[in-house]
Amino acid sequence: MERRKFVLSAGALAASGGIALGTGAFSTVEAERDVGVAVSDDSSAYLGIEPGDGPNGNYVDTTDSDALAINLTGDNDNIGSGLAGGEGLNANAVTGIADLFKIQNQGTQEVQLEVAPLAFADADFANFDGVLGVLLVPQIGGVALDYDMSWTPPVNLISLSELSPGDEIDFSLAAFAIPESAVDSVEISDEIEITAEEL
Amino acid sequence: MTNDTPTLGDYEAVADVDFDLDSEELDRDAINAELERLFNS
Repeated sequence: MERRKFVLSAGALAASGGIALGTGAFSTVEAERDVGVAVSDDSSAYLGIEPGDGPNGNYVDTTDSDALAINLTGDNDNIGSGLAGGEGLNANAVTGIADLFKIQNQGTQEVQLEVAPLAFADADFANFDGVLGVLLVPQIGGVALDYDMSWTPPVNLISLSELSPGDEIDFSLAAFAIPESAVDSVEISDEIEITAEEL
Repeated sequence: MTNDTPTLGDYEAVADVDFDLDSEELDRDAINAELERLFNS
């Protein structure tokens, strides 16, 4: 019983001390707080850019700096582990690849997303040996996403507004190559520019 | 065009290109059908 009384008394003293200190004014406060900033790869950054969830995501590769890259060539690192040896498009054919990659708002506020260009082309004008066309297709026809597509020339881009945190948009690709002589005569090596701006 | 299924003609317009598709194996209808399938997938 005596020990219990002593503990209560010590608590009362500490509380009294705290009140007394709190009434005193201060002129400066110096405190240190942690700051953690990381640079993420494309899949986990605030603007997530990552391969599609399905097997067609294997047509997307990464660069040396872990940035996403559409790679429909023999240099795709997924050949042998996801891609069973294919090294390019068929000639005289339309190739459609759904769920190729996706862009997700992993930040805190709505953004307007722009992806450009939409169309890529190459032609062998010297020998008239081939035409290659590659078209990016946003899969927004079947989702409930607020968007505004603008096809006004000459701006070769898609603009999607009001992409809320957590929203994502999947992209497909349609491509064609003609004629048979297009094999090894036409190719595309270009870049896609993805821009997100707060609303 | 706004909020409609894109066609090859839309892509040609924005990219300022004209794909000369006279191939018997491949025509615009085939490409537009694929665009519609992908857009709505």
